[in-house]
Amino acid sequence: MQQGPEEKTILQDVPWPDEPPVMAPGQSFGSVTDTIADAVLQRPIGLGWLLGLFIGMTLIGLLMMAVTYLFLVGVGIWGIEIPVAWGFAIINFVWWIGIGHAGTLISAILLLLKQTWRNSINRFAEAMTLFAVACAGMFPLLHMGRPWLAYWMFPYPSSMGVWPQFRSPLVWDVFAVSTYATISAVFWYVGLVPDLATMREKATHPAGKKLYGLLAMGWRGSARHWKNYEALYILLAGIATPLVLSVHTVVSFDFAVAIMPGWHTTIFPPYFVAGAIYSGFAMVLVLAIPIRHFYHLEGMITMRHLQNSAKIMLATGLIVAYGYAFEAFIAFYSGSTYERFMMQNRWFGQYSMFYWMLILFNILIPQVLWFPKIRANVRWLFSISLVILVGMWLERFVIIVTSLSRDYLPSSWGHYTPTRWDYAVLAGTIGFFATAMFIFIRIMPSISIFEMRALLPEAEVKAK
Amino acid sequence: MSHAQLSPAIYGLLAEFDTPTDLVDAAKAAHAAGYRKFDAYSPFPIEEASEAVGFHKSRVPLIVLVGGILGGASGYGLQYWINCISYPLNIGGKPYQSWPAFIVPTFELTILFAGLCGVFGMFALNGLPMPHHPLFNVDRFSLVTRDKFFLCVEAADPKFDMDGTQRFMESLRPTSISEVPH
Amino acid sequence: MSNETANLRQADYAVPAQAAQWQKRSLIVGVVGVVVCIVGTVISLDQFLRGYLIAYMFWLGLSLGCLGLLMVQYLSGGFWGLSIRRVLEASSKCLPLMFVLFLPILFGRHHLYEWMNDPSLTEHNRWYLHTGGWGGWFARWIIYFVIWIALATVLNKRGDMQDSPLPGGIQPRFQGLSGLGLVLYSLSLSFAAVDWVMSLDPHWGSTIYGLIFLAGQGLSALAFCVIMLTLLTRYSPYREIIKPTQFHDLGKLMLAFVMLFAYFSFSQWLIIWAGNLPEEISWYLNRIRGGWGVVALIIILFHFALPFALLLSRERKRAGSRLIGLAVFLMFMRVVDIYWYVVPNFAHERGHFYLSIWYVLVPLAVGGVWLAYFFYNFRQRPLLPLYEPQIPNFLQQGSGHGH
Repeated sequence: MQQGPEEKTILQDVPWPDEPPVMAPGQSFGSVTDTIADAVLQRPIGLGWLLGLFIGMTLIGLLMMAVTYLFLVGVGIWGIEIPVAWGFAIINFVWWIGIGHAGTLISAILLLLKQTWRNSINRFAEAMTLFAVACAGMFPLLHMGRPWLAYWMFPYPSSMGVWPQFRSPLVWDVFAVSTYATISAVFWYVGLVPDLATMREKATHPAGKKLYGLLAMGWRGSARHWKNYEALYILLAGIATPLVLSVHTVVSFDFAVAIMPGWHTTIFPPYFVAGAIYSGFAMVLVLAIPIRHFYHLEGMITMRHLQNSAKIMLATGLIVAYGYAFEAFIAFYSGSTYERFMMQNRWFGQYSMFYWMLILFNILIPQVLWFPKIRANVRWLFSISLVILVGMWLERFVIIVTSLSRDYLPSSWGHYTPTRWDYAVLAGTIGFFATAMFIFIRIMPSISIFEMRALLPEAEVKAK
Repeated sequence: MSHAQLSPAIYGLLAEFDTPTDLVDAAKAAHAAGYRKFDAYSPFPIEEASEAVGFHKSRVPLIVLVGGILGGASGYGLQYWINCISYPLNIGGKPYQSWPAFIVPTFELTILFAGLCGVFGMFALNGLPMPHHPLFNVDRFSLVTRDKFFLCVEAADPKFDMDGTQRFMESLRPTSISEVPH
Repeated sequence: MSNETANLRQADYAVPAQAAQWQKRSLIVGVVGVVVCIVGTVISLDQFLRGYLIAYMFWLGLSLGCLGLLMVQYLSGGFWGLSIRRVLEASSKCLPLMFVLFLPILFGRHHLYEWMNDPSLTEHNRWYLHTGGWGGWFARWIIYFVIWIALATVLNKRGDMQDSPLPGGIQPRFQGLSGLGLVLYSLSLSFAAVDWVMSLDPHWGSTIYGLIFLAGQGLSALAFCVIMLTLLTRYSPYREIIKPTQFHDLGKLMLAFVMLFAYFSFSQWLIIWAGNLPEEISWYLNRIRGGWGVVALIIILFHFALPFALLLSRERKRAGSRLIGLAVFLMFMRVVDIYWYVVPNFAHERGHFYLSIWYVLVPLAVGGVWLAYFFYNFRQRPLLPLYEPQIPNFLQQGSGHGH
């Protein structure tokens, strides 16, 4: 985003002399426009893209099959069984929604902090948010048993005279997640409108021209329009920032409000939020590294973006580690037998393998990001991001399954084994996510064109 | 006013510029020359341009604020009415009016209303959607979404007259001037 | 650029002479305060020590908050840290003073910490609180200060290097050190908060406790920076250099910390309120019943709601003269919050509101001493690290609009 002349300098990051630039030199308004728009409009459909889409679609087919069978038979086809009534579905829900958070963080918080390097990654990061929230949203619905009655969660004047009860965090979740999905969608769309106008003018196929034209709403770049637009954009960023924090906070309340050992702990809200951003940035890197490689966008998504993302991952990963440490410390400090047992069970119990894998994936391996050489190496970044994505999934597994399988009463202990249908749904949502991303980068400019123009030196108005 | 009726055939005159600086200078000059119904067009937001055309304060923040207050009030009101009046339930011995719990949905609805009011408000204030506009009749205007900058003085401006305005616009040294037909 | 650097003369960026006056006034407050405190130990040792713990946690929090912010601004980069860097450095140099000032707590520990007298209270967490009698507690005090003073010393040393041209143009690196430093600071401070405040009630534990203290310290530090920057901007050279944007950024950060603190506090409250477990909720009940509820309400209204509403205004954030009052008020509210954390732990004050004159006098007395030492540190060096590579750009953006 353009800032006023006086606003340009202060919180904004100032690169060190030896740091890579936000944008490679030699770009102009026209070349920026063409590079980004032509990746959609001119570039022929490649074999690699088709293959990726095919794999994604295949996994969607698997998802359809799994969901159909689920609707016919019920949630019994999954591994959940009392006492472990929350299994893969809730793990995947928390995992996906956490991944979504980096998109909002990049588009809103970094905008407020005037970190202009965000301009070339915010668009696809926001798209990532939308698709991840869509994946996340499926799980609570599927998990309900009777998903066709999902609307019961909303407050509406029902003929039964019944209303939701607002002391339940699960009802808060309905509000938090649906608000988040709505605001993310409009934020993304508002950010797209000026670029859709560019696409309208550049598209050659009449159908494409019509479609982009309709979506662009007749945007014509008027100074008055820009003024209102900018005012709205910065305000949306301002409200999306507390919103994104609140969403994962509410997700953490789903656990922390219950008195289950291992769930009921006050650090959950900030530590869930940090974990969400952690996995979200890992997903950003997993997407950005191939996109910049295959679409030759190295001049716009530079090493600076990757390095900054790596630094944010390191910082949020350390907050997560702080959370693990204080959970364990207070479990032993507070004197509750159940809390102590919970920790010992995580360390040495039947699922201890997952706990130690989690520590390895989430805490130990990512520490290599302290080294600038690793942060400058694309392959390393890509692999570490994948490791973190797995680690964050394991974190939710450990929280949900170890606590539920060993609660207060030994007589009600149990264990949890996921079935093939659990895996099918998880793989299916990954396919859905991938397919949506593949389609997105073919039909929408995956980098914000107008914000990149504003980053160019010639965008500056020179005083007389 | 009579001038506008004299030239109903066109929407205005459109000058094209290469740099944002030229556009802002031209807009300042047009404002100084007494024109009021004119606008600057650019491929990205230019803070100085909206100042130069005389548009200083957006009403979007007010709309967002009002939306937020409405959302928060109706959010809390809804929960209060449901859980305290219409369908009181004792859950875990908590009071009917459980404000710590109600804060969460109240917050979410505040954000939801503020955001939606802001988005619809912005489009409404800008008069969008408007898929067709006289400016689109000028072929070169399509470059406003790419790399060119435009200034349009509208025929509806009381000071507008075909020759005088044309001469004024030439003094701004644009790369081209074109008439915008209706 | 290099020409401009050469033109910078340290004399032009000296701390204004008025700072000597401020130092003198602080010292008078401090000396009078110390005398009053000595009287206090005779009149009512218990109440004095409680007041002292409040004062200590506040002024230690300010020193540490400044140390933390110093590392944050090295990591984040940007100009916002440049104008306040010397304030942050001078505050962090007060940590050796805070080490010495711990002695009254050390000697008065049996009056403050119930578990020191009655080991049966800590059967469940003897492994932590009672490691080696009170030796573990004592050793941790030493370890915390070794970490904090070491960090402050190294960062200040490297900061000093930028007061003169560097041989070979090699700049000291701050980023790695600051990253590691923040990790050490967060961990050590969290455990210190457990040792010195949370253990006043050895039966209660909360995992977010350390983060609440971290956010509170950040808020104190930012408020203090706003106050110092406003005072300094009244005199040359800051009068010419500091522009509204500087205050705007600090104002935004202050708003962020007001919200962060409220977020942590609300999270702790909501989770404990909803769980309603007897061993947890009693901590809040002691702080709501018997008049304490009014203090809690004051904290909600004046530690969060009012500053939040005021800081939303762009105009207010851009004017130091309008921000300074709020900053002073926020520092006062920090003391109120610490008071609300500390005092309801003691047997007679659990659920019975109590305010002693010492809770007011001792923080003022310690403040006088702290500020005198702060100004002493602050006056030792120029206002800006003149050979920091970003300084020419910084001065340019400051003076650029004057033409």
